[in-house]
Amino acid sequence: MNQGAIPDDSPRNLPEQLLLQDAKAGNCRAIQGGPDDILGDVSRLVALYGGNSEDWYKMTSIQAFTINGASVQIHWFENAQILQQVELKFKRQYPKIAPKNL
Amino acid sequence: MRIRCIANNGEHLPENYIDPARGYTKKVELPLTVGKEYVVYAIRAWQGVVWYYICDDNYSYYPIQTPAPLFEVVDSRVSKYWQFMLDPNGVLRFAFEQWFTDPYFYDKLTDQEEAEVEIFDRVKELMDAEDFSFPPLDVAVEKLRETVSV
Repeated sequence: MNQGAIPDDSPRNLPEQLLLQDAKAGNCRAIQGGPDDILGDVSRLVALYGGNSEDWYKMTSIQAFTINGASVQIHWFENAQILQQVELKFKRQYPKIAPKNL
Repeated sequence: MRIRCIANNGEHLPENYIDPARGYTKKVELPLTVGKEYVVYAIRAWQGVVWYYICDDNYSYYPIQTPAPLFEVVDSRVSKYWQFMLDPNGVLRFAFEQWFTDPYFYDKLTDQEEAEVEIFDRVKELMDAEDFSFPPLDVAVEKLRETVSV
């Protein structure tokens, strides 16, 4: 797991900006975290940002837009007690290219 | 194990699944299609709350926890790739081997790390194609006895 703080990613285009707005408006859900599914990165988050281990979640946008051929979601860490959101990342997954038959 | 979606929003969630910290409110709309079947790749349960890890309609590279009450089970046979774990705090899990052998597997998978994404890709392929057709009990026992007889 990483040791230091990871800066927020920025949207690269308007659709990513809209996806970010939608997610920050509350259209999001937890991937992992909370008392029954503690994050692997939680010690680092607590050391850097404070709070209790069980209050940290990894969140994702519920929407996933296809932008320039990639399926894009937004992930970030969130402390549910103080609603602190940190380390926002755009996850761009490109479709796999099938190997050509030789 | 296969499940069929019977609802895709928070209106249908029991009160013990409503958890705003996780984004589960009565208003939440999830990327699920009512009537569609999904393969379950892992299960987590704690204090009566059960989550199925599925590839929902926005799937890109990892399965995501989804509340069990939004589904009915259409095939209850469990995967031969699953292992069982009971955490000291009472959390019960079924998942494939790599999820347990590396305690950070799911963290790394959701972080889009290449090795873990590749592993899940392979596991998904196997579990999607898993053959659950078993012979009737008497035929299976007969076959077993044939193989162990000297």
